[in-house]
This record gives sequence, C-alpha cells and structure tokens, in this order.
Amino acid sequence: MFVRMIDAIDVGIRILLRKITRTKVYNAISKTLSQIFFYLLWPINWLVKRTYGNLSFRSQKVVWSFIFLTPVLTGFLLLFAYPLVMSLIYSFSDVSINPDGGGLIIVFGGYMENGVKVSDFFFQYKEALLVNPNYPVELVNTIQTSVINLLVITIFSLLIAVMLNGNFKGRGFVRAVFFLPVIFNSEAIDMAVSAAGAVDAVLNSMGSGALSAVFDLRQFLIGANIPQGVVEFLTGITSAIYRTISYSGVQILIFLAAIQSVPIHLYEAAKIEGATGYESFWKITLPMVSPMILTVVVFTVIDSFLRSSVTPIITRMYNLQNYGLNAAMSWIYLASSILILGISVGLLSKVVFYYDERS
Amino acid sequence: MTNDPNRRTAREKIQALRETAKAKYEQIKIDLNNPIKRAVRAKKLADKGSGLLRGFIIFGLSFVIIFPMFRQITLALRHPTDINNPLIIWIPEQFSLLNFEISMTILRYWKALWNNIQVSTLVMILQIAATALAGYAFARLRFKGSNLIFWLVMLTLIVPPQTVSVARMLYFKNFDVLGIIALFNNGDPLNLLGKVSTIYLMAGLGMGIRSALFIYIFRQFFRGIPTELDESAQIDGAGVFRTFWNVMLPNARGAMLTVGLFAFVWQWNDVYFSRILAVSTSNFPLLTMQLANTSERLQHYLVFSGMEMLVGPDMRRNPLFVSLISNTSAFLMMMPVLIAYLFVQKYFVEGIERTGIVG
Repeated sequence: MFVRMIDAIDVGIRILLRKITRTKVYNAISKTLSQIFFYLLWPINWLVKRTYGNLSFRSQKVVWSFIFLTPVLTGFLLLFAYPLVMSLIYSFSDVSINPDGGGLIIVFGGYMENGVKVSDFFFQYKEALLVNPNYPVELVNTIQTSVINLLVITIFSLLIAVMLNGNFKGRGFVRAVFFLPVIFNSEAIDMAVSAAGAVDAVLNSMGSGALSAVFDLRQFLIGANIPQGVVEFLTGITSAIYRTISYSGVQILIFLAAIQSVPIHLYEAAKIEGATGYESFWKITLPMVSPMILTVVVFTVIDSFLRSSVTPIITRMYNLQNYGLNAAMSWIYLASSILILGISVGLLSKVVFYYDERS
Repeated sequence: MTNDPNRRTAREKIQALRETAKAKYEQIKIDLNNPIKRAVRAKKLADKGSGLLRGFIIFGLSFVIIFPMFRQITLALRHPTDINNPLIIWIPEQFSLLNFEISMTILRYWKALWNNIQVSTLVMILQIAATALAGYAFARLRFKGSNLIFWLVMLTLIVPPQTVSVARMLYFKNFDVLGIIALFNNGDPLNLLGKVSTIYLMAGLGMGIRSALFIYIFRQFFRGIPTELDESAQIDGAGVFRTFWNVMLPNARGAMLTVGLFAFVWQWNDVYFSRILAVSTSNFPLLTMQLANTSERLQHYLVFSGMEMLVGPDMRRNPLFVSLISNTSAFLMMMPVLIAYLFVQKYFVEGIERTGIVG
C-alpha cells in the first residue's frame, strides 16, 4: 500500500511535468534560459571539455571517484582522523581548561606540579589502570561479556538464520517478528525501564518481593503452580534469550543474506548423493557462509563494546573535565577491543573457506 | 461332522484369510528390512521431526519477543489505581488512557515526535546519499589506493565512538577548518554543540551512526551487480555519473531500503550522540532524551500540575506507578516506528536476498 501510494504520487508528478513542458511559455522561457546559461557557463564548459573531455574513460572514472568520495573523505579527516590524533595526544598529556579564557592548556608528556613539569609519559595510563578503583574491574568485565557474547551470538544467529531460511507456513510473519528487537533495541528504553527497575530493586531488597513480579513472566508461571526452580530457570532463560535476540538482529540479517546467496545446485547435488539436511548444513552451508562469520564476529565485538559498562566511567571523566585521563581510558578500551578482534579474526581466518564459482 | 459342507467352507475361509494375513505380514517384514524404503521412511520422519522442532523453537522465540510488548500494552491501559490489584493479570478492570495522558505530557509528545521524525528522516536521506556515493566509488570506480582508503573508512566502525567523542567535542566547541570559518564569523570559531545541524553535518559527511557499515553494505551490493550492465551503458554513451544515476541506483533499491531503515531507526533510538552533542534542548526536545529522564520528571510533573489529585497522593511515591509511566512512555516512543515498520517490513524482510550484504 505504501509503495502504491508512492507510485501514484510519482505518476501524478510526471503527468503534471509533461503538461507544463508542453506549454508555449515554458518553451520560450527554457530556450532563453538555456542560452543565457550557455554563455554564462561557456568558460567552465570550455575548461571542462579541454581537461575532463581529453581524459580517457579510466581517468574520468578516477575523477568521479574522487567527487563521490569527497563527503566521506572530508568527514573522515575532519570528524574522525583529527579527533583521533588529538585524543591520542591528550592521553599522553595533562589537559586543563585555560582559566583566562577559551582554549585548553596541554602539557605533553608529563604533568604540572607546583608549576614544574614532571616528565612521565604514561602517567594517565598508570592512573587509569592502577589508581582508579572501578576502571580495571569494568574493563575485565567488558572483555569477558564481549567474548561470551561473541560465541553465543554468532552461533545463535547462525542457527536462527538457518531456521528462518526454510520454507514454512507463516514465514513472513515470523521474519517480521524476529527483526522487531532490532527496532526496539534502544538504550533510551533500557534506561527508562531500568531507572524504574532500580526503584523496584531497592524495595525488593527491603522485603516486598511481589512488587516487581507484576511486570514479568514469573508471576504468571507461579500462578500456574509451576515449581519455583523451574520458574527461575525459565524466566532466566527467557530474559537471556530476549537479550540475545535483541543484540543479534543485524547478525541474523547478514547470515540470512549469506545463506540465500549459496548456489542451489550445491544442495541439489548433495541431495542426489543422499546427504541429509544435517550433513548438508555442515558440509555446504557452514563453509559457504564462513566468510560472513568473520564479518559477524567483527560486528558483534564492536557492538558489545558499544554497550560496555566502561562507558559511564569514561563519560564521568569528561564531566569532571579530566580530559587526559578520559583519553587514556578510551585508548586502553580501544586497544582491548582491537586485541579481541585481532585474536578472533586471526583464529577464524585459518578456517574460512572462499568459494570460487569458476574453479 | 467333518463332512459338513458349511463347516468346511468356513474353515477354508479362515485358512485363506490366515494366508493373506501372513502374506501381508511377510510383505511388511520385507518392507521393513528393505534398505531403500527404510531410508525413505527415516528421511520422512526426520523431516517431520525437524519441521516440528523448528516450528516449536521459532514460535517459542516469537512468543518471547512479542510477550513483553503485549504486556506493555495491557499494563498501559490500566487505571493507575489498579496497579497494586493482584486480581488483574491481563485485562484491565477499568480501561483508562490516563497513563497515556501523563506520559504524553511528560514527554512533550507531539513536539518531540515531530522533531524526531524530522531529524530521523533528514539523517536517513543524508546517510543514504553519502554512503551510496562512497560505496559505489569503492566498488566500481577504483584507483590505486582506493582499497587503502576503504580500510581507513572501515576503521571508523572499529574504533568505538567513546575514543573519539571527547576530542571531537572539544573540537566542535571551537570548530574551525584552517581558519576559514573564523573569517566569516567575526574571527571566532563556531560552536557546534547544542545544534541539530551538527547531527546533519555528521550524517552528510558519512560519519553518522555506523555509516561505515552502510558504506560496506553498498560496496558489497554494487560489486554484486554484473559488470556487463555498466559496460553496455558505457557503450551506449553514458558517462560515469549517468551510469550511476540511471543504471545502478534504480537497481540498488533493496540496499537503500535496508540502509534507510537502519539509519532511521538507529537515529530514532539514539541516545549517545544526542547526549554528548547536547542536541535535545527545551526548545528542541527529542523523544529518546525525554524518555531517559521520565522517572525524574514525573515527580515534578505530578506535584506541579495537580494531577496528583487524579491518581491519588500515595501514587506519586509508588515505584510501580513510576515504572508503569516509564513503560507507557517507552511504548509511546516505539509506536510510530512500529507502525512505519508494519508498512515496510514486507519489502525489508523479503528483500534481504537482494540487499547483497554478501555480494
């Protein structure tokens, strides 16, 4: 319906345009305008013809390539490369706000003590790892959760993608449902609900456990006379599953696309040879999607680092205007994320199989 | 006795019956031992079993996804005085829209909604434009070193935004490019914080929320289109830009839909960038930021608006009421995206194979 509406609007605009272009006034105006523009732009036109027109098609492509890349390259240099380098410099220096007015005072490679510079290159890093009480703990936590997430989400999303790929009744509906968490996976919702949940937690610790129960499956199950242990197990699993699903939407999408791009004749040949679905999963699907496993792993690590519990600590350092420590913390954070990425990609790249249709 | 003709025929009949039964039994026995038929039966059983298992898992997971949403709706429709009523599990006793009213006022719903739609739509368009151009350049308009630039751009995905964001903010506070902007701004650098246009700037320069992922998707997609297509366009006399605009882009609808949906939804749900760039102000509220502060604002609101009388004085301090309002607000925030998703989900879900994430 949505697309039909757009189509109708499109057709309407086209008819309108055609009617306008057929009037005499329009023709006269457009003729004079084009002449004016021709003479106005003549030098530019001449220049373009002399330079761009003389180029081979290959070189023209390069020119266009640069034109196409201009926005992204500018953005990369201005909004990414420059801040990244600055943040690296901050992490090695003592940064404070200039009391006399705008701007920052940056003491590179050390800190000021009683007006004298004490030279210590890594003092911010030392402070982050050795002095700060919360940061190392949360960093280790983040690394642990991201490794666990990596394994669970990769396997889970591959299995779900295989299941969603088959032909069954209600496939469209189920697929639509499975991508819902991608849409609703919002930090704001988490924050709002958890802010409310915090109040609950306080009350629960004071002994009124029934309060939060209204809001979940637990009471429903207990009401149905299911034993306490089973209920705990089930509710634990459902909340874990919900979290896993909501974090693995993009990954399912990637795997689904990968599975659908596997040539069907491979499966047909396997079927004729008598392979079962189980065998063809291990022997065909898995090797064929293995390059995408690499992509999924990279994306999962990045994603779980985004949600890390280190972020609030780093943000607090910003609010305290301790920019140097903030930068050092975020660089340790980046280094650990790259470490995990490097290890997992290094391990996986040995088993990745690249299929070439021509060979 | 034995000469009784009737008896004999009866015996013979029984004999015949017994023989046919035996033959059938033998037949079944042979069938059971027949390896081919056995294999066929095993396969049928396995197919049915795996289908059943898949159906069970998939619909179970769908239930896990849908259940909280359903719960949210039924909770939101309750009258606040019914929260502590243990008799109500599913269907509210008193239907009321009071929760919605309170949430809408706290969120400043209509204004924030309009702002959200505006920001998300513009960001979506800018993201698609910037990333599609870059993706095409990386896929088809290659030159020496374009691969290097591609991996540099991919670096923006790998480096967590926390690492860059502080240096970026300090830069944005005094934004200037080689002293050019200061020339037009009375010698002062520009302050980009607290302005919506900063988000547009970042999206338009390909540094928005996960722009690198979108560039990757577009690159893979354009690589998947057969080269014959642009070669024939070139033979017909189309230039580089014309080939891109008239031949490639119309084919890229699937990829554009995927990228557009993600860009829209992630911008809609975004908290991180809206917070550090201080975009959401009292003049320009955004839904996510309003939602994140719901529980604090609720107290103020109830006291100052006289709404306390409506819900009862005890209610203000009831944590369940706070989480009820948070839930309703979260639901209100999700609803517009949900409705939009219902329209496009068919094209999104079924168009995955054509998005060419895999290439």
